[in-house]
Amino acid sequence: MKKLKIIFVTLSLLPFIFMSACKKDESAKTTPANTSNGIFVINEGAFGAANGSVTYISLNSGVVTENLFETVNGFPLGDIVQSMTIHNNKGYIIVNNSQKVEVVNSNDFTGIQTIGGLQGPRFFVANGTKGYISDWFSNSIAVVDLNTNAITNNIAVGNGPEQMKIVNNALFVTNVGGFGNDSTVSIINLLTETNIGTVQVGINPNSIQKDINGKLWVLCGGSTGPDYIGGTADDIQGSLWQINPATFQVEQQFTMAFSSHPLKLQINGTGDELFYLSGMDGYTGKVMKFPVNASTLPIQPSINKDFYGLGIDPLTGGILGAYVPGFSQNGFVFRYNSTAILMDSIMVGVAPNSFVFN
Amino acid sequence: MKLKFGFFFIFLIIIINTAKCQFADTVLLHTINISEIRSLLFSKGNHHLQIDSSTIASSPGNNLAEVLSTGTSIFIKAYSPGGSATISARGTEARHNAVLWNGFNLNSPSLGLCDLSLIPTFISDQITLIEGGSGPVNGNAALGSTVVLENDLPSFKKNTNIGLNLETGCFGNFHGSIKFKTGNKFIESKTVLFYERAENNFEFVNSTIRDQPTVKEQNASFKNYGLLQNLDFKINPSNFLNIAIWYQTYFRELPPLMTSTSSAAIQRDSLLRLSGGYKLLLKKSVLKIKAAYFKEYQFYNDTKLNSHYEYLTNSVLSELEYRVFISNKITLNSGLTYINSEAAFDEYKTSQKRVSTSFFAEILYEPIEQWKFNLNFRKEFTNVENPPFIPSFGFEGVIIKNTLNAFGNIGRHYNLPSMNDLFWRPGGNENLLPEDAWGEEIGISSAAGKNQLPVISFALFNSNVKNWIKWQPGAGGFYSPDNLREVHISGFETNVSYTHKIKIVNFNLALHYTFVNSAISKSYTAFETVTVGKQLIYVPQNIFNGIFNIHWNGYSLNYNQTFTGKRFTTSDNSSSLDPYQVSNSTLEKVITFNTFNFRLNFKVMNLFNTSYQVIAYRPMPGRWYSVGLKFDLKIKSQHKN
Repeated sequence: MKKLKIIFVTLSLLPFIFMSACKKDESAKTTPANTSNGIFVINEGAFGAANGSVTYISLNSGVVTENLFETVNGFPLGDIVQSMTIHNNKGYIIVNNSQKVEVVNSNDFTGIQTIGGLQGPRFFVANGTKGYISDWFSNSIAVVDLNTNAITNNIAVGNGPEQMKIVNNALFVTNVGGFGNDSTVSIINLLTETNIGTVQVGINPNSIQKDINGKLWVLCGGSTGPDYIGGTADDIQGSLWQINPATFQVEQQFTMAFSSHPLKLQINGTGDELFYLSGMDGYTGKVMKFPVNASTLPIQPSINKDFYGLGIDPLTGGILGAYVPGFSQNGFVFRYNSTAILMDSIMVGVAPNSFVFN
Repeated sequence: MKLKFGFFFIFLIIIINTAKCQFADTVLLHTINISEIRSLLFSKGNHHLQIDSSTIASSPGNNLAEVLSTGTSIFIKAYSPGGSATISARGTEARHNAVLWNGFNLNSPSLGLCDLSLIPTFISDQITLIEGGSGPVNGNAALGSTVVLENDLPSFKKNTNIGLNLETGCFGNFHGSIKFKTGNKFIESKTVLFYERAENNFEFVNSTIRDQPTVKEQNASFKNYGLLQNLDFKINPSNFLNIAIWYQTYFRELPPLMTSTSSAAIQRDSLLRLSGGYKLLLKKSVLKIKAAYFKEYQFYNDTKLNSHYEYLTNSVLSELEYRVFISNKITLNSGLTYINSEAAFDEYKTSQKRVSTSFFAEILYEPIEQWKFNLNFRKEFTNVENPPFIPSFGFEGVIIKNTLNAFGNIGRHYNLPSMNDLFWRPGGNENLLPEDAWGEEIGISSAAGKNQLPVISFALFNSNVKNWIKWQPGAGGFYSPDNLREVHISGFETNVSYTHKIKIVNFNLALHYTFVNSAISKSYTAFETVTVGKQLIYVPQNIFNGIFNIHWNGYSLNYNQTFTGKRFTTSDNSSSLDPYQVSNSTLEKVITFNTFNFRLNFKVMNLFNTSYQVIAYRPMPGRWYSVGLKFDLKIKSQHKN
């Protein structure tokens, strides 16, 4: 009987022993941060793991804040944080596989609203009180009224609309191909919100920039072919195109070396130097610099390290490389000065893919 | 290579001849050593855990994943109720664990692993978990555990048994199955028909979206139906034949991550498994020949992500086994296994084939009473690569009579990359190296005495796995496998069972606890060094499980609690999921009239309404209920055979 008592006591205690082991921390939900002078690192996270985040590097204090959005707002960003754009002191964070855009105050990161009703959002650009979101699955551009954050229109474009640029009420959309291929840049008249045609470029245009001369540059990644492996016989190499946004005409075209799949076209603050990543796998590459008046493509990389994301500080011309050692661990940011000398490296979230300067 | 072939054949011939010449006279046969399947007989150095009926009774469902997570301390990686679930025993991955049905490994030849949600537990009479490595006996890769599904030996008596099981619960849960068993002195037949479904539209707080609303899980239903037919024939007292047919279709919707608004993904698995076996009892030996054909089809479609695929695998498996009882002390077993698997997937460049022939030899030696030693070997030849010679050694013995026993084992394991690991597009890695591992274990256990003392077993285990294959997420949403240079697993496991009887009240207690460190110990690249020494993702260090049972007067009350420790979700251990504990409870009443047997049960799942996730952002239901009715009828023959 005594033994039985001991057993009962032990048994009845067990749940409590284990329960005390997993007390939950209830931390305060909204703690605004000062994010008015710094760099946001967009960490997309691993597909299906919902561990995308934003890391903030303060240029005032040098302090690095991990997982900024969740820390400030009390809930995670979601699955595949694709990109972020700042417009009128608001940050528009696109969470691709959570099919949403989180709107935050870009100076303290407090959440304002969630824009839903999207299928596979990728990038955001804005002009005045209108925002434009490219959407891979619907192959269209969603028009958002930025006063109400409601979607007011959907404009059909090519396959897998990716990055966009607005020049004089015309929206230029790179159609990267989505789950297939495309080789066009769609043009939308923003006054009438209609698709007015396309410009033919190389296969799978993935990024676009406007230079000091007012010309558009479109970087095409090419294709790794049906085997998804770069450097094999079925590859189509990438290319760089210059478009006149007034005439919609191609003015220059540069073809990359065989099996080169460039991506992440960036431009410096003065608009006279383009940067991109050049590699074979279609996802990463070494940093290449191309002055907009150059007549040939660079052969030697400026920085001989394979990055997943690239950023050029608009004020200092410093180069930021996002390094992904694996999609199941934290990534790193390597900071270089404008002459490509390594200054420091910082651990950030999982899979950093781009930078936003505020 | 030819030399090794030769060695095995000679070995086989010697065994056969020894049996013929030396033991012409009838001596008492080791009845256990005949009937026991080789997985169990030749893994004496491993702890065997019998999954009993009270575990099955307190499990929230009827598939192997739910039952194992109720009654063992192995981690079951379950995505959602009714969703796919894989086994991770002692810090291993799913492919390091084998599930055997009629002695055939159910691990998919393409995936290299087994989805436990596709295995209903009621198709077999007994479920035994062999804890730890038993590679040469149960397939080269079985480093973590082996689950053995087997039927009771046929009695060949003239009686009939009809069983009906109906259960219904919250979220549209329904289970119905019929078991019909009949036979005479020559034939015994068992038929199982089943149908299950659930909506799984449970409510949960979605903490991942603004304002954290309470929402309903969507696109989470499943439907599962099938049949099992088992036939045993006794041709004469020494010739036995067995035929089994298993057909099943499992349709399920795949729910979205909590961070996604919706999902439109579905998956349908259809499988047909045929197996046949012949057993010849000779005076001092047993010959077993068996063969099987497995056809497995999987269809996946996601209209939202615009992706779909179809899998079709066909496998022919066969095994020849010859067991000789050299003396009361030595049992020798040898034979060969042949497996031919073909997989046709859109996602492979071309259809793939894996042909494997293995020779095995196993020795059970009992030099003195209650001491048993196993020495096992396997040599496999395949169409892709010839793995090395795989040995293992195990022992079990009494140290203090009626008080303390000891057991232990050591063995090598070798795992070729699966067809998906190599050829799946995108992601497959044709440069993958095979895994090569050694595993060791040593343990003690107390003997079940007369004094109603608890039976306790404790085991320390260790293994080093070279070139551990790890699927990791990559760019563009693609997952891809790679070799980790070396993974080191170490830990301990303890099992306690206790039975006590006071007058008409019976108490049962079973506790299981596993502590495991499973971490990368050596890395290939500089950046991987960040992950060296870090616990592998989704390997909880601590798992505890307990079942407490009281029976009285036809009533039984069951309480089950599991605790699952922190699971890291990134390989540098920078993020993790909270530990959780879940409790289930069952009250059952048995009513018996003559040969009728009614069982009424009421179950409460997740008694304390815990909000938890096994896998990140995959919600699980809160408290829910089910009621069940079991009906059993035995019809015994009036005439004695």
